[in-house]
Parts: sequence; structure tokens; C-alpha cells
Amino acid sequence: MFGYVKPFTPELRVRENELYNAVYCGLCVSMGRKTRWFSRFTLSYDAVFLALVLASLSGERFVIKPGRCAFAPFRKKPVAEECEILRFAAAVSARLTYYSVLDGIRDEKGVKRLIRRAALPFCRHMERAAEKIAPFDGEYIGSCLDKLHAAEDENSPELDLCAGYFGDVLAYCFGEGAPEGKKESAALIGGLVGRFIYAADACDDLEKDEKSGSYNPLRFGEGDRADKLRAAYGAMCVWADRAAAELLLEGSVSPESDVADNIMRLGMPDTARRVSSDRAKERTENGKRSV
Amino acid sequence: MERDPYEVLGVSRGAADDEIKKAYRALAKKYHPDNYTDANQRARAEEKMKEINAAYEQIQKGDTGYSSGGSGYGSYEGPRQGGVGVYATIRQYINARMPDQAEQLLNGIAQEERGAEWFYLRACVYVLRGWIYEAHTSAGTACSLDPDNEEYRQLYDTIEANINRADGTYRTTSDSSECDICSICQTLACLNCMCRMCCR
Repeated sequence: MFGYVKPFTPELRVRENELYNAVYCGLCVSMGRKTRWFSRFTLSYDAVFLALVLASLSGERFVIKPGRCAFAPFRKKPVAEECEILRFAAAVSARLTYYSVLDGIRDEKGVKRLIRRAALPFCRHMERAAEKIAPFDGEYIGSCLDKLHAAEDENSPELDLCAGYFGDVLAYCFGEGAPEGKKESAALIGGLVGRFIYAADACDDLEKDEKSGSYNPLRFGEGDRADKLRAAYGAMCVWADRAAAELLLEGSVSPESDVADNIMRLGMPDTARRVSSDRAKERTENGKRSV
Repeated sequence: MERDPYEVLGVSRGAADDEIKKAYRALAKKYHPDNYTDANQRARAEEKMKEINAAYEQIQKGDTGYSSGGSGYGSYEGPRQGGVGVYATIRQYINARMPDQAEQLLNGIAQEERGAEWFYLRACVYVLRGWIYEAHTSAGTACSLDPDNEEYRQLYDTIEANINRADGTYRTTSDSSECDICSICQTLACLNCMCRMCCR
């Protein structure tokens, strides 16, 4: 959804990087085939992460073959073959995109809202196609998002509360896709990563929301800005660490779980550092470097 | 991060010794690092083995008084008994691990009467729920309102230690040039270990 759940590439091995890219391409192809061609434009790192976690938990391996793609037609690239996990991840991605567009229509103003309105019929098509593959209860997701909206409308200063509602959405999706006996672990990982995404987004948008006056849990409550960013950073690190520990405890040892492990142990803390650092300071440092 | 040792071994809390031993052996067999040839997988198996061994030892020692709720504040024991009036009752609720009742009482206290102790107790409620962000900010406020209070400081330091543990373990290479307080502590700890090698 937002691109906060990415691997930390300097620490990935070449073959792990290849696997990650292959799953990314494979998911894109699966989305094109199963949830309408235009859904490929909504491909996100989060859905790739979902596919990797489900593969780690079920012990399945992706089959990688060279393939061509409309976006890079001249060179063959390694692509993961379509399988149940990729189809499920594609469907979840499509369904969540639909909800996030509905959200956007509710929250955004002006041109952004118009763009979302224009995209809504396409997203509805995607959602219908996805519902056949991942026929889980949309009402539950709707109810979690409703609770989140209610808390946001009240200008709740509780980041944990809002992030928890968003976490519930991902926990549900992760749990639905996991094999029997692993549903609990999958839901726990999904819940923690969902919280992480919400908190990362809140930190990332803080400066923008302060200017525009939009809702952000970090704008409310006692304590100064730096303390709150530090607390949010700490929470994000603890969630990522806890999610990584859960996958480790589930005991799958495969290249897929190595990549998922890299994402949670290195990629997510890296994102947390990036979004919670003092923006103004970072900018001047970058400026100095370029001079 | 500290986890329930029973959960690590995949047995229930009231499991018999035999059952625990059996679960430990099965896991130890599965995750023995020698089963894995790939260096990365081996490292992960080693890490898992360490966790299994620690959990088994902890159960054997009978030292399983961890705090539940996924918060991972293993070493924090909750507030001391005492306080006056409603705060004493809140402390009792917190020690009995009943965050909802404690919060209800806390919310009943008027805005202008909320001092350092109020923020401290609210932080305790959040710790019970595993709400790290809220616990951190509330404990921080309690400390800034009453900087000399040891009890408040202790909670804040425990939360900070948990964050540093989650974050410091996997610190990426880009940060290695920084000389912060953590690296100084680490260096001192290493030097201390080295001293013990020769000066027995």
C-alpha cells in the first residue's frame, strides 16, 4: 500500500535478491491474469511480503522461470510461476486497494479525490474478480476500518489504538491465506506488520499533516514532537522484531523465509529510522553532502 | 525479545515434565545446526536452538514469571503497592493485571488533578496491553513532571531498554561510524569481559 515493507538490499544475497524480484514480477503477472490487467498498476511491496510470509509458513517454494513482461519486453527476467499463494496475494492486494480508494474518496479533497472517484469503477471490477479467489468476509475489514475512522474523527492521540485497527485488517488477510495450524502465527505477523505500516505512514506524513491540519495521531496528546517520533520509532522496531521472532519460531528454513527475515529484521527498522528521523535536519545534511 | 518459554517449546503451561522434555528433544533434533549446510540457514537454526535451550533451562529452573500480552517487558514487575486514595486502588488493579478497570479509574480523575503519578500509572496500563508507543510517551511525561522519582525512571528505562534491544541487535552497517552512548556501553562491556579473562 505504501511501500514501507521492503527488503534491505545491501544485506540480501544475489540469489535472494533475484528471488525477491522474481516474486515481485510473478505477483504482477498473476494480478494481470486474475484481477484484471489494470490491477498491475497497484502492485505493492506489501503484497510481495504477504506472498513471502505465506510461502515461508506453508513451506512451499516458488518455481522460477525466465519470462518476458509487457513493461520490459526486450529482456527475459526471472519470474515466479503462478501458484495459489501468488493468486491469493494478488486478490488481497486488489481487495485492499478497493478499500483504500474508498477511504481516499472519504478523506481527500480536490484533484486527489477526483482521481480516486475516476479509479473507483476499475477498482470495483478488481474487487469482484478478487472476491472469487479470496472469498473472505469484506464486512469484517469494513468494520475494522469503520472503528479506525471513528477514532480518527475523534482526533485520538493513541497511535497504538489506530494502528491496532489497521493491524487487525492485515491480521485477518494473513490468517485467511495461511495453511491450517499456521493461521495464528500468520495473523500475528500480519497484525504487527499492519501496525508498523500505519505508524510508519503517520510518521512519514507528520510534517505534511501539520501544515495541512489533517488528522495524525502524533499531532495530538502530550509530549513534544521529537519524543513522540522517538516513541513511534521504538514501537515500530519492537513490532518488526516481534514479527521476525514469530516467523523464526515457526521454524521454516527456506530462501523465502530468509528474504522475509531480511525484510523484518533489517528492512523495516531501516524504514522506521528513515520516517522517524528529523526531516529538516536530514534535508540539511543531504544538502551539505551534495555540496 | 523475551517470550513465554512454554510457547517456544509448543507445550501448554501446565504440561508435565515428560511432555516438556519430549517437545524439547523433538525441537532440538529438528533445529540442530548440523542439519543445515547453507550458512544463512545454519545461523538461523543456531539462533532458534539458542532460544529453545534458553526456554528449556528457564522452565527447568522454574523461572517463568514473564509478563504476558506480547509486550515483552520481561524485567518490569509493575508498580509498588502504596499510594493514596484512588491511586492505591489503581495500583492494585495493575498488579492484578486488570488494565481495563485501572484505566476506568484513571479516566475518572479530573484533568487538572493529573500529575506525574497519573501519567506513570497510565503508562503501566499501556505496558500491560503491550501498547509501546503510548507507554513510552506516558512514562516520558511522568519523568519530565517528576525527574527525581526512581520508580518512574525505572519504567522509562525498561521501555527504552526493550526498544534498544529490538533495534540495536540488527543495527545496519550504515550506522557503525556513529559514536553514541550505546557503542560506548558496548565497548565498556567488552573490555570488562576481557579483564575477566586474565584477572580472576
